Amino acid sequence: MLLKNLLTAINPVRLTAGSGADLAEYDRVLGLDINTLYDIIFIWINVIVIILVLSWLLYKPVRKFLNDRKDRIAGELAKAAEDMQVANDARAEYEGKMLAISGEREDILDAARKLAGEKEVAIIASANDEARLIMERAKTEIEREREKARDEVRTQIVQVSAMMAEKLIGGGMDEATKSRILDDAIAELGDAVWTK
Amino acid sequence: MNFDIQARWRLYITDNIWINITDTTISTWIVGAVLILLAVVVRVKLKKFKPVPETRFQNIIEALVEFFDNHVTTIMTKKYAHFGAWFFGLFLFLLLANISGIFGLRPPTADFATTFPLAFTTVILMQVIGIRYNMKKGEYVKEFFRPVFIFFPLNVASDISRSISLSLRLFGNMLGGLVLMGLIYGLFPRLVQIGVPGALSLYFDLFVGALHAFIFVTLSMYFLMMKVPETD
Repeated sequence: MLLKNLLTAINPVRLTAGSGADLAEYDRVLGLDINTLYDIIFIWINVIVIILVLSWLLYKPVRKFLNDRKDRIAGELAKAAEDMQVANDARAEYEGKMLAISGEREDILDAARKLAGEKEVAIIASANDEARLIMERAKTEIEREREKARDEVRTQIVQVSAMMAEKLIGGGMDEATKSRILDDAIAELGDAVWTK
Repeated sequence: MNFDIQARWRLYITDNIWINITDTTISTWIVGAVLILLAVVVRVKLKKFKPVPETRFQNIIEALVEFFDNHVTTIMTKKYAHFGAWFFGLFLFLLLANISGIFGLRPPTADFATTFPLAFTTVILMQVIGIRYNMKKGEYVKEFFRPVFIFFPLNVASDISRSISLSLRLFGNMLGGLVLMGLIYGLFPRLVQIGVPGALSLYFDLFVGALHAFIFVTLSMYFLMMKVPETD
């Protein structure tokens, strides 16, 4: 009551309570009285409620949505980086294998070339041996043919000579004589005749 | 031309205690209703929000929240970014309250009864954040006795005066804009009030309103950060 009387003394109009006419009398721009304090408390409560509702309904859900999206994007980026790492590892492994295969291929080719060279030498040696054998066989055959031909010619010469001698003698020669003369003639002709 | 705050109804608590439903109260309710409606719409539409925004509405909401989130993180660091929830609501309320003059309302912030409790809340939050995060080794209490113990009254007065300076800055600017625009509108006949006064209204109501909402919130955040440990 004391406070009211004090404040009434300071600001008599604004603390006049009761009738509807007071509403018309109430006007202030900056009134430092007890009613302003009540107004302040009332507006304070109103504004706090509005701000808390805005935070609860608007800010927090939207911020959560944005943060979730940010986390999701960060997760996807991390996964992409991880996949990239896996791909890079696979590529490095593939390239390593390709290099190893290239070396291995060279080794195989070298071995093949070496083997081919060895086989080539063996084949040529074998061919040379065979050729030499063929040549030897051919020479032997030629020699045999020559002997054979020599014998035939010698026989024919003797036969012709015998015929000529028979004609000269007059045909009085028996078969045994003919044969003996023929053998002697052949023996006398000898090898010297054919080796010239 | 009357710039005083008018009481429209009176709400009696007892015979001697009553609350005036003033122009400020009604404007506050209207601004609050619009903001809560917006929040409800966002909450409903949030379920349809795409990972990549496809609508202008989603873009605007995301840009607003993201901008404010970054602003809070810049000033208050990530450790205290959870205070952003309060300051975001405060900023939206102040923004719409400051520019509500464009829509013919008496801006709630042109009333000391609105700006003072908001600034006083900042001072309370300063003490809360100081006690919560700077109480180790008695740093919160020691701050009041720096540089020497005789500065204790000055340091206490300094904290209290922040609420007064913060609230009077906003109140004075908004009331100044209200009075100035009232006078300018009064100068022009009704038929030509769309031109020059309209452009000035854009400046005093929209630009100054948005600017001071931003200043109020930014200063509040800085005041809060004055109470946290220096290492933070």
